Amino acid sequence: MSYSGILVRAVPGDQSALASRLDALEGTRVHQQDPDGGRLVLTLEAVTVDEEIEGLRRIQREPGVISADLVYHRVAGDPVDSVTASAPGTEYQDNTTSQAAPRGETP
Amino acid sequence: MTVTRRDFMRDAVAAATAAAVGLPLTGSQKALAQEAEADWRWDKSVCRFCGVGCGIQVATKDGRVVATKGDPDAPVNRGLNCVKGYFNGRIMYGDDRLTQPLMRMTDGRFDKKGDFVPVSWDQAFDEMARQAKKALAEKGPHGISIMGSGQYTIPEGYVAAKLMKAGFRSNNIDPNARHCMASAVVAFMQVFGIDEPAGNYDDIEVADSFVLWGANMAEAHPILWSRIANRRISSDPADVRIINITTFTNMSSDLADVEIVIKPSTDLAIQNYIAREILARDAVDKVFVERHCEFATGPYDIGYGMRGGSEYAFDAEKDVQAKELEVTLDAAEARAQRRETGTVVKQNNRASAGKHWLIGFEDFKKAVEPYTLDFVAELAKGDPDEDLEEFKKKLQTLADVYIRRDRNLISFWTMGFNQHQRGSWVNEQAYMNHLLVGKYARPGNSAFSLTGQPSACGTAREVGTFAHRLPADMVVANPKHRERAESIWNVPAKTVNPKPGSHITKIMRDLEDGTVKFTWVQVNNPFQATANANHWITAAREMDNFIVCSDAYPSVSAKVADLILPAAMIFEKWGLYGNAERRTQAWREQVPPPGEAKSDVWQMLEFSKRFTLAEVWGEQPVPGLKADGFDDGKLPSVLEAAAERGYKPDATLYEVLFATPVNRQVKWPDSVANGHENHTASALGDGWFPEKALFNEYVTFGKGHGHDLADFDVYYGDDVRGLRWPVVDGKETLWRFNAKYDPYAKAGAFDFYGKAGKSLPQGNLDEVTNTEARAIPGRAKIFFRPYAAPVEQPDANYDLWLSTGRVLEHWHTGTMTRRVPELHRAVPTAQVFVHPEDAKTRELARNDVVWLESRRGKIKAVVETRGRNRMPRGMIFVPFFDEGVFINKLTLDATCPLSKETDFKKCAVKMYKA
Repeated sequence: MSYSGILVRAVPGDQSALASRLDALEGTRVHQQDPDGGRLVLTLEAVTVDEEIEGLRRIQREPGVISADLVYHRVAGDPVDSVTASAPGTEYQDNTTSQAAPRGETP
Repeated sequence: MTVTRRDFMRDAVAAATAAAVGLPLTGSQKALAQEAEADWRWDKSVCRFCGVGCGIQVATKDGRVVATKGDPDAPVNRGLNCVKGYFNGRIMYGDDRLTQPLMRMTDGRFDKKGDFVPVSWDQAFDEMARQAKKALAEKGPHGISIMGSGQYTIPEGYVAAKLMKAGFRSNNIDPNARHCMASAVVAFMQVFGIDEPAGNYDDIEVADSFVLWGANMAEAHPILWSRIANRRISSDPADVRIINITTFTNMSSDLADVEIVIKPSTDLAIQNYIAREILARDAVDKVFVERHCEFATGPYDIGYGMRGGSEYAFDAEKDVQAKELEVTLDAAEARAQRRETGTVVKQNNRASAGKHWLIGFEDFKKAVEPYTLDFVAELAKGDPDEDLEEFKKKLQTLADVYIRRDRNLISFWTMGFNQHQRGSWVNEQAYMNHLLVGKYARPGNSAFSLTGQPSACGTAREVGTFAHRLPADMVVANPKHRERAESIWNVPAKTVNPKPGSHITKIMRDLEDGTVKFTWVQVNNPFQATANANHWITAAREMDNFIVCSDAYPSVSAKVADLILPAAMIFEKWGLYGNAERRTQAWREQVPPPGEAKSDVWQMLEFSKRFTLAEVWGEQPVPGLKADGFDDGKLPSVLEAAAERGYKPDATLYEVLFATPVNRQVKWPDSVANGHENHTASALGDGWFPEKALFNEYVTFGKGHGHDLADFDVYYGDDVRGLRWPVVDGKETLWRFNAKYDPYAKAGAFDFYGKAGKSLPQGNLDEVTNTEARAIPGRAKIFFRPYAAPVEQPDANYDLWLSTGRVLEHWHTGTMTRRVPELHRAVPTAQVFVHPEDAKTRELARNDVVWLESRRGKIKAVVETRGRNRMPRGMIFVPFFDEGVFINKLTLDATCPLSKETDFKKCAVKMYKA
């Protein structure tokens, strides 16, 4: 499991309502608010980079959010975190079915 | 237990986040954050990705990166990171990381048709040296090449450039940065006589108007974009305006006040419309222009940087290639160039595209006269569904932000300008308008080329890892510059080759032609990133040549190579990068590289041990060499002169160029390491500190020449977050050329003191009329450059424009950001963004698989009619990160003829159901 800390800047006004909506998003928790400055500190819990990016984008899409930026990223060393890429191997394979690379008219 | 641990982690991460952005913490929060980070070592570093240059802090434990955070003390990003920040801590740990050298072998010997087999470093270097020597013997110094990078650390770039230029006497080194900002460089050199911007990112907070020209900052430069967003949101909306000029609606349009969708290449016409308006409304800053500027122009018949024909051309591409030599002007082009429609123009200045001469203000006025609102609006409107009158209003609003004296203005641009068949021209036009109204080199007034790579400026440009360059803006063709380089390098006169080498696209063409037989790919993925890729992949695999690729992962370039060398990644080595605002930043080695992977510096230094002076410094053939003091077609032997300096013929390039007596005085270990390792120094094992010694040697090039850098240790100081050069008397320079801020600016309030191109003949709009050169010291040039039509345009067969570029989640060719398989789901494969109407008329629906076909190749992609990029009818967009959607098989390898930077933004394709 990886954890990231995200800073949200909010449109002035409805900050508590926004905080509740953000808190309800998947993997997200609101920890701290700075009512005067319109800033909120959130954490996002996720296993994969994909989930992390999608999580951050969800926050960014929420109405009332001016900006949401990654601040802190903890890649914990738990076994579940190890990256499991399927090694594509080193042989070049043309998987895009290009035209068969003609060599032009041979002189 | 799990819940408790999760809560603990979350609370600790929240506390650390709050601390990083300066929110108040309670005592227990502080304790919690400390407990969660027990035994960690934090150290400052730099983000690995784009050219913004965000500062980050890296935490390590037991030789592994465990966390990263935005550096709260970094002025660039003030504690924030964009989503690419998620990769910094993970990029080293993909399962397919390369950890040992791999060579194509059959029966224990190198075989180009063999399979990759693990070999020792010694076997790898032995074969490499054998192949390089074979190529040198057969073709001379320009028979070998390096394809380098804007991601080189400064020491890496310096070692590569010195090895090639002083060692092998070859200028065939060119970086992928050629594809990224070469057009910006040409304009800096031609307009100001010195590379890189006057201003910096501090301009953002004091600007009133922001104009984006072909720069989707929301996706490509998010942290700067959020600084602009802050400026916009924290001000009265009427005070701050953002105008997004683009060929399709992108994420930057969301925040923009005005979006102007244009046809490809018509930015040239719009710039001239603005200039015409500035003149018509009498808005020229006369004092500024009279005291600090000159007017200039150059030839129009300069070709498109393509081959002028090739025996290897596909039949389908021959018609476009023929235009390299001869073009028939269309109506718009003819009017824009004051000619008759249908005029056939032989492209006589292909080899002299950069020549230019001084003209008068009246000539300039005459030149911009055809660019009326009606003419330009009709030509430039890019969305066929937009009302022409609405579009005209937008152009007028655009002219207003340039003209209004009370508004500070920044023009930002990226690849829409730089990757352009007239990229150098359109960069020059940006300065044209800023100079006309005096909005340059003052706080809040800037014309700024954003860079895409972390050290395109710091390494590729400043170190000069280009085919024509030497460090500190010097060039190989200039005898005084060669002399100075030879003196600092302590090598004999005439060691450095006066003939510029091949730019990176030309290196590919040279591989196809068989004139380059050996190439070494470093810190980039050119076989995926170069346009018209079918040719180059075939050349790599079918021709008699030897291709080495140093990489961390099996990129396309690694897979088409003959030898793969496993490379250390950013936090596994010492390094420095220079960002787009002239800020040089440094980091230490944080973790060891995996397996047998080693830094590029170590790889090059080890390779240099395998060459003696006798092998490389004798007389060498260089086809086409013609220079004062040299016999045609060859470099003289410098062995005798070398002996006079005490170099024996059997001395190695390692001893003569790198581990010199002076450099060996810079010892490893060193207190600047503060407990960090240096695997490069340890593996060399001879007691010196190569990165520090070579950086400090490099610094001597720029000191006193307008490029002053501080010494190595300064950048590692705890309180330093990079310094913007020139660093004079320990102080960085915020606004160059402005006497208030720049110690080099001495002649008046503004002094454009760059030395290149400051003595020029004079003429009219068409030609030189007085060959006597006039000196223009301290002045910037306002160029007239005309509209020129793109060389390939949609027609009845290939009926759509294709543009390519980036998406936020991936970087460049995805070599680092596509290692994590889950990520592929976010952007599963690169999509083709299509206007719904264009899909419908081809009976296509969202998510259909289609063929995309150009004159040069065809690939499959998945249709997207919604999403982040919304196309006008007639244009499609495909990102280039995905090797499975290999879009560069379709793109055209036309370049700006001045900069040789490829235009990846416009070619013609057709699309049909697969």
